[in-house]
Amino acid sequence: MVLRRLALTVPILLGTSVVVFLILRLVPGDPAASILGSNATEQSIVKVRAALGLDLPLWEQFGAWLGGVARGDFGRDYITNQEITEQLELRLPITVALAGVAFLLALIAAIPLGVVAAVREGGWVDRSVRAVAVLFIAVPDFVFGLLGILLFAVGLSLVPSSGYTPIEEGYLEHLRSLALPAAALSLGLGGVLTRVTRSAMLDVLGSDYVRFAKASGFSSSSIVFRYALRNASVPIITVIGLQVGYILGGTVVIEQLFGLPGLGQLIVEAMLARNYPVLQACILVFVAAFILVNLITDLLYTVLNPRLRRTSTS
Amino acid sequence: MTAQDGASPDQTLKTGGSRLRNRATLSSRIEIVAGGFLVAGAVIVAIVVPMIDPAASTAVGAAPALLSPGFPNLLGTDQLGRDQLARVAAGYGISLTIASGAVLISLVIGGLLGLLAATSKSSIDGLIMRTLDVVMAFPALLFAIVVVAIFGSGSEVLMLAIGIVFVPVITRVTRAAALETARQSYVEAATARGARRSRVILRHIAPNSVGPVLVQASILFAVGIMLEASLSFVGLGVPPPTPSLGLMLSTARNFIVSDPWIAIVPAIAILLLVLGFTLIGDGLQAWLDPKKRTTAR
Amino acid sequence: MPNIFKRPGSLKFLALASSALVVAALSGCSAASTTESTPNVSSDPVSLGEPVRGGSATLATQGSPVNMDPADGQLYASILVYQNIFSTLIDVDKDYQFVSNLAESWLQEDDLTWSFKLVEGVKFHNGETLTADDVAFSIDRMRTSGLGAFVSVFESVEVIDDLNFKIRLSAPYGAMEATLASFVDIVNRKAVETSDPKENPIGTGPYKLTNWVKGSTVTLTRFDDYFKADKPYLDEVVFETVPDDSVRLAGLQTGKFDWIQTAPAQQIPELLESTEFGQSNSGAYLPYLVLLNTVSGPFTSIEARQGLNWVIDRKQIVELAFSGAAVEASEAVSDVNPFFSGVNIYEGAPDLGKAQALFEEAGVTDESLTILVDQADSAYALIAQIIQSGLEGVGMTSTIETVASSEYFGRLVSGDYDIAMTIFSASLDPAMTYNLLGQSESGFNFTGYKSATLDAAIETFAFSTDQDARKASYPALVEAFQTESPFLFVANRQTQYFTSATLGGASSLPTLEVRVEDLWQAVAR
Repeated sequence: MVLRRLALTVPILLGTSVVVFLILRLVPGDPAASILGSNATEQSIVKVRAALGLDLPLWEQFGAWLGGVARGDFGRDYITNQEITEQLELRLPITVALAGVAFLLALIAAIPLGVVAAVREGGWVDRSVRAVAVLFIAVPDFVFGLLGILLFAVGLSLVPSSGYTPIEEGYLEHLRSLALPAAALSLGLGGVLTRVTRSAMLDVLGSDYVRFAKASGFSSSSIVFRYALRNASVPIITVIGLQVGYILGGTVVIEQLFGLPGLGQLIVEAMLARNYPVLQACILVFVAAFILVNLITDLLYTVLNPRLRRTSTS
Repeated sequence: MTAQDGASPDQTLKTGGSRLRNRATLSSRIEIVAGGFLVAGAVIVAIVVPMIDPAASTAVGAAPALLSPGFPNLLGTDQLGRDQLARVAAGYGISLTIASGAVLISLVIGGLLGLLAATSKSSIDGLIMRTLDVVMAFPALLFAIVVVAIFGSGSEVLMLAIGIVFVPVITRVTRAAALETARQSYVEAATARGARRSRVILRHIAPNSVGPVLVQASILFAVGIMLEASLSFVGLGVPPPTPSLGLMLSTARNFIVSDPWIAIVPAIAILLLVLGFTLIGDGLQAWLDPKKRTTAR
Repeated sequence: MPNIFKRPGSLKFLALASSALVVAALSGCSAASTTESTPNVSSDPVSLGEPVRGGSATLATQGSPVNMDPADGQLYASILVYQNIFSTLIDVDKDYQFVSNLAESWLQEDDLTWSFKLVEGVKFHNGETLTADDVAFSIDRMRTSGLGAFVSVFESVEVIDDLNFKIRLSAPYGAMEATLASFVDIVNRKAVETSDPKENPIGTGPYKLTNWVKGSTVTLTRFDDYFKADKPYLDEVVFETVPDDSVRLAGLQTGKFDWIQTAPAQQIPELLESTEFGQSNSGAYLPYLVLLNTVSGPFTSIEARQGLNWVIDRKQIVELAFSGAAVEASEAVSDVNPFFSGVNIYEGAPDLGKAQALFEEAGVTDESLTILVDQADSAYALIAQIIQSGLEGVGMTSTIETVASSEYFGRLVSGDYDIAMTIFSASLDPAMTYNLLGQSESGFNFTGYKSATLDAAIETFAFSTDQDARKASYPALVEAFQTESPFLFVANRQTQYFTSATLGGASSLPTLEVRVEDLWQAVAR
């Protein structure tokens, strides 16, 4: 089953790279003309097209591009002629830091809250946790980001309202510049995770096995930790896989809002400048990351749930 | 309502008996009503306010710029002196229109694909599902960006972009519902009598699918509104001066220190609308299938 | 409802503890750190004392340079940076006086000939000595390049010896000194012939290029053999691209940046009052104008163009699009410029009645217009919306199309617009502006308008070296352009730079040059 999953990943990766590659070839306008700008003449356009390889058949261009990507060479940016790989190297750590912190925040907050809500089902704790979870799911991340800026940055001056401080300039300052954006990004995942945790725990806690264990005298905390959480983790991990997509998409907006020079902001800039080679590269990276995460969660899923190792899923 | 409706002793234990069962349905009713109230409110605002003064949302300089909420501009004015209430109403109109269009597109395409997948042989089914896997490999916002990159921005393109993002979900739901229907005994009976399998499924699928599709649709409305707002926020959505809530938030950023209201108004506006649809979706989910208390986005 | 577990204590504690930990992590670490450190030097420039040598500064700009070749620099973002790597022959100061730079002295010999004497012993960054040959080379290559239109009237450069040369013009040119002060940077022949001038700029300027991360930062280091012995003050300067206004301002407030190019206009009053920041002088040196497509579409008729002039509310543009940080403009320069005429044949605009009548006369009613906006500057979009609103007042609808800079220029050149917004950063002498934008044969004539009347007016004003006569003929030029109106000016933006409290020497110049050699840090950083 693991092998099946791995095998499926390849065509998906291939399919998405075809879609991403087609972006550049399907857009209106001639890349050669836009590079040359007001210096465009018939001959120079032909020359530039040849230099860019645009006169080759489509599948050859795709092969060349894919080959380059496999070597880690994403080509050159049309406008500044800078190597795209360099730009990616600069910006990727920032997005990874942002998404990573957001992810951790969501996990650290959501799982305990979900557990508590399940254990205290029906009580006011449960109801308030559920209400807060719904609110977090419903608030678009940049709305919270904006309101957060108003409250925490402008009002209370706890964190900077925008801008990114790299680790070299101070670990604390680095975290401070990421705190609010990561918090905003973590909300959606946090809300969903809370609810999934709660419901999965409820399912497990209501099962025969648990009733039996309780009757046999196992302490409540050992039941929760050693059995319930482990079994509840399956749906939790499935959901994480799906929600990572929202975090990745969310970095685009959050980086724009907070002025963080990461991949998300690069996508927006590339879009606005019609800088398609850069756009292609960024989207490919994001999609590959997403596929990778889903692969990992699927693998974790089978590891945690041995019963599934031999059955096939659709 | 005690254990007579087929609930197993386990379920009764888990839900704590009839009292909790009642409360579950009651709270889901509250959610649906509250959500419906918010959505209806937004729709009313979107329809009524422009009727009072159609040009207010783009009337530059009609009032002093950057006013806080008060009279006569109930929600204040923006940096070009336009009435915020009018702009929010117009923004609601845009969000609702684009979201509706997207959901419609996804229902039509997704529904057809789902039925096709369920009633065809497994190779076609596999092909459809694998293609959708490729679509699902893109985080939603990024896929929308790709579509906008190719086709340019504008309301119709946004509807298409967001609609396509939703197709895999609807396809899965419809397919699952169709397969569920197929398992029913009356389908076996009908095919035994000579009727075509696919026809029978189509005829009887409705009751099985309405519930899940409705739930997904309300969630998709919420997500669609958020996607449209996100795209407008980064400058890839509906072009100015058409007010989109995301665009209003984006321009408000520069003023956030001196005139926070210009940001608070659209922020709360989006929040309420998305919350409304989320509550409806949640409530529907809990009502129709109380065992599953989660809604995955 | 009875709880399944009898002793929830440990669970509850764990949950509470983890939540508390999260909250503490978020707020605790920020509460422990201090906010912006208050400088112990007053920001009043007078009390910053005398310039001090040493230190470094980070300057946050709106755009990013794309190439460092002064013959090809079409983007202000590039010019801003490389003007500190190269030197011009002549400089201009705040009072519009021309002062010597690389040219020790110069003289207008006759209508068509100017002679120059270079400062002796000026070195390039590669060790070569500046000679008149380099000047000739620089001007010659400019003629066939992107900025060629500015020097089209320079016919030839005659090199007399290493330090002396003459520039021969094809016509008398009143804006001669202004052009030399604005754009003509001197490159080294040897350097250009051996390496790519776009990437490896070698000049005589106060700073050398030591690092360039495209799209992000440019690092300049002091050139020790700079011909002005006492300058520059700073050892190192970093230009950082920060496209977002609020992020730039936030950087200034947190001490990350020492100098920012523009601040969000509505924050300016606060910044001016604050003692935490310094500021340069402010001058309305940057004209914003509206180009009209005179080749196809409704604005081929003069009545329609005049009608548009009556529609535009410049007061509203200044108030709403620039939050007051601009002045209304009906000509290329503002009243700080010696040539300013103050002529406005549309006094009293907006007047929708007059506009309507003119549009009807032109047969232009119920049209749907395209307003083209470059997405790079947020002011364009605001101005466009104001114009759009005005047009609605006379029953005309318009669509605003916001496009990326690269697409914008393409569409300008191909005439795919009705109304387009732009700035023109070469307005030290209005001849440069009107000649380049309005002359029939000019390569920068995007509106496509050809008029003998306007050409004649330009001829009189630009191609004469009698500055008094020029000043007298300028109002007529302005009026002629306002009447035929292939393009119209709407506002002149105040250029003012905000700095940290310890950075001295920042000034705003009519050429929009950012003269880094004047900057110093009062506190060693």
